[in-house]
Amino acid sequence: MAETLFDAEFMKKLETLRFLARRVFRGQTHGERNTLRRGMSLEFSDYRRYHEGDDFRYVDWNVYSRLDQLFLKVFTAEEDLTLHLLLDTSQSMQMGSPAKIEYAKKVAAALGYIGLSNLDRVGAIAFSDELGVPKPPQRGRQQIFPLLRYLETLPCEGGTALNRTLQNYATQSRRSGLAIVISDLFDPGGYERGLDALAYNRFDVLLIQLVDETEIQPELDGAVRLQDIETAQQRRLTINRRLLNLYQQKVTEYFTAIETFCTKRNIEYLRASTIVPFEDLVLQYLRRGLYLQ
Amino acid sequence: MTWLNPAAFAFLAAIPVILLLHSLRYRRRDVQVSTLFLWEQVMREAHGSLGLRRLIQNLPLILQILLALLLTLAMANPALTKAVKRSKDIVLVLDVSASMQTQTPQGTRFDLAKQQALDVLQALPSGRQMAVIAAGRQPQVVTFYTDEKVLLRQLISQIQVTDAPGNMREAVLLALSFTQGRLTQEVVMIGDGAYRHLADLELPRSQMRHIQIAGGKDNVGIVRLAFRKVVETEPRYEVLIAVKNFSPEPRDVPLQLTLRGDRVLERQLQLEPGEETVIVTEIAGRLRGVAHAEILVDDAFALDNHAYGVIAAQTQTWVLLVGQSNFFLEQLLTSIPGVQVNVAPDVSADALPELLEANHLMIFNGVQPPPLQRGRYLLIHTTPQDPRLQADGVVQQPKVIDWARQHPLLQFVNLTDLQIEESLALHPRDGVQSLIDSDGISLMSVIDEPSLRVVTLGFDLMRSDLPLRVAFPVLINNLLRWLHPEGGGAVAGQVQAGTPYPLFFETSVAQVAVQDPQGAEKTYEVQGNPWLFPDAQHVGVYIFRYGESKRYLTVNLLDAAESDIAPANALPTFAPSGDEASRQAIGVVQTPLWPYLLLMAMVAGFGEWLIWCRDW
Repeated sequence: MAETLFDAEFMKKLETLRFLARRVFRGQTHGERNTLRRGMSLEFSDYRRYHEGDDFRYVDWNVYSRLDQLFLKVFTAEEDLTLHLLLDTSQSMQMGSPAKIEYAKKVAAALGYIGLSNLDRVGAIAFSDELGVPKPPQRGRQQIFPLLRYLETLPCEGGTALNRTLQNYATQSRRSGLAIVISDLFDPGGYERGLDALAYNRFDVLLIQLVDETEIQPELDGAVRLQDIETAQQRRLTINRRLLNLYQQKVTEYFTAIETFCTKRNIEYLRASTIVPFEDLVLQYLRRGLYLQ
Repeated sequence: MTWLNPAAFAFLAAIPVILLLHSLRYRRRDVQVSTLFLWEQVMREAHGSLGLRRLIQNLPLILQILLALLLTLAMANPALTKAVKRSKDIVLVLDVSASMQTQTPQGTRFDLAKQQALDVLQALPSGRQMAVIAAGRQPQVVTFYTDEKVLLRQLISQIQVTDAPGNMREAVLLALSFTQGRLTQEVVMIGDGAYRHLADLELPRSQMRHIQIAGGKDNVGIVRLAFRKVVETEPRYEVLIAVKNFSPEPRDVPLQLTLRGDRVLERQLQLEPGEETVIVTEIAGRLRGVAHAEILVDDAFALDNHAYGVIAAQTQTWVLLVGQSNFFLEQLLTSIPGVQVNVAPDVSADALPELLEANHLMIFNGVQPPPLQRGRYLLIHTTPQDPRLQADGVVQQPKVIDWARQHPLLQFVNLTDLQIEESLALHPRDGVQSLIDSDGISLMSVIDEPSLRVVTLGFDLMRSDLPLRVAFPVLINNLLRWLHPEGGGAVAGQVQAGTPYPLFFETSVAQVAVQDPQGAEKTYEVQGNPWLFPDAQHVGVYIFRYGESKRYLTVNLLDAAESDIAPANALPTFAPSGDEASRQAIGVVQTPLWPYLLLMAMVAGFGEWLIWCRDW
């Protein structure tokens, strides 16, 4: 799948990227990510006064000679980051051209690749109205292919229950980290409690909303029978210009409400249309949003 | 509602076609969407409610069906059928009787009646005509049919109320003779509803309309006034005055009688509601002049608070007895005060006018009189030379079957078991009234005309037991009073308002000047003897002057029924019954409705076009 998803040049570009976590997470093993924990690395962090029992090897004798006081050099400990890829595989993700699910899988694969390239732990899980079988967080470049296979085999089925599934994942996950939620967020039940649960469990959340252009500007006219792809509910409607304008207004209000919510919760939010090439999304939009560097 | 072109309903078949086309046109396209909740928000906000949403969604279809329906209905040409009462010519009968002078809070009843009459005139459709009859004692045609409203308004305004009792029956019959049963003509009666002798009239109710004028109920009135000279050596007079309280409350009524301005009687009466008091008293002395009875009350109907009489010097009644001698008759006539009897064996036609000037009445006893044109006569056992009253032989021992007890001639005359040996078989015809009837014949008949009064008795007095009966002097006294009323005693002429009064002159008179109670004087040409004075319309004293002579006539209401001004309990109702109402609704008007339907169809079409333009 790696060959089908990414070409070599794109993969090279991905290798140059790494995630920027705004929150410092306690890693499981030594990694390439600085933490606030003072540790044994080569990167100087600060000085502190000597206390009884400290290792004399870290006393800065030059400072002692000038100030006649004992100060210890403190170094930043480097730990790994756990990247949680939460992918919406409800039936609504089938919509769009290209299908939102395909686009979401590519984005998830790219982000996973970036994480694995930077020795971060990368796990993935699909959710619809229930949580799917998870792929536990693992590190190492050799994990890229299992990740891709996992993504490739994800079925697109079921409805959407964002609140319940995200709440469950937040409570079940033993390790916090950067949670990247990729969904269209079309859930009449709402998304707020799910995202709140992630933030409460010390996840740094990046919310990527994928929408198709036809969902923003439907190409509908005349008498139609709208069918919800997830619930199979139907509504008969005669579409006209006025209704289309009203729909676009409602969509805009909905997006604005998500933005407002995320801003209040300090959740990174990115809305992307499937007409944007996913390479551009990864290489430009995510970097522009300072999610990657 | 009537459909003038029901075949157009076939176009209703277009409605299923519209439904079919609409179902094809609006076959819905199935579209899958990620979620419906945003669309549901749109639908809620756009249409408010589901019902309204469905209505609006189906509005084009509804308008198209409505358009087809309205066009079909318009083509069916519906017309609103309305039965209308055809406008009619009107014969207006306006009550001008004395009771219409009753005061109401809004004026007199007559003022209100005239206003109602003007309202009826105002509502008269153009092209329709109106005739006006004033219903007094005798109906008077104010105008025959005319459509000149200005003239009609002027004539109605000029009608005056009289002091006389009304005779609505005659007025209605006259009005109905105008309509002649045509449904296009209607009689409108305006009055206070106190109409005598009307309930028994078979009135065509569909042609009658009654507008009642009400108001005023408090009245006390003088209902009778009479003077009589008592037959005694000393002149004494009896006065009879009857006063009745028509008010619903008891009243104290001061009564006074004056003679030539001098008060000769004064009483204080207390009358319960509906009570009538009769006062009979004697006044001594040789009286002469105008007597005025008056009750000093303030009520709604003032006309009957006054009554007048004239006490005059007694005059002689000259009677010429022609023919066979009759002991009983001569004795009786000579015994009556003021009666002078002359006797003549025969009278020729040439001598008759001269004898009429010298005698007040003539009695022909068994002698055929000459042709009679004027004068007063009693014919005994003979007949006048008049085709209206002929004798067809004689009848032996006729029996009296019946007699006219109410006629002035036979008042208080009892003819039971009257024995008659033989009588002429009188056969009265038109204009001659039989007063005593036997088996198929008349025993006594009268001809009563303004200038000619003839009483014909078919049997010889001497061949009956009538002279031996008490009835005989009563009959002769009645004869004298009826044939020569002005010579009957102390009382001069007294008549009810509105009644023509015959005036007898002793000499030939060409003109008479008459002064009415208001003091206005008018001169009349006299065309006969007696002469009928027609204008005794107002209560009061009329004074006649001719030559050196002066005569009085007192005019009174003296009518208890007319004085009873309380609203009539049983009014004649002329409201048409259901069948008659339907018969009146003979006019039918059809109002076509298709223009309105077409207008509504255009509105529906415009709405459909508007929706199509807005792509709703």
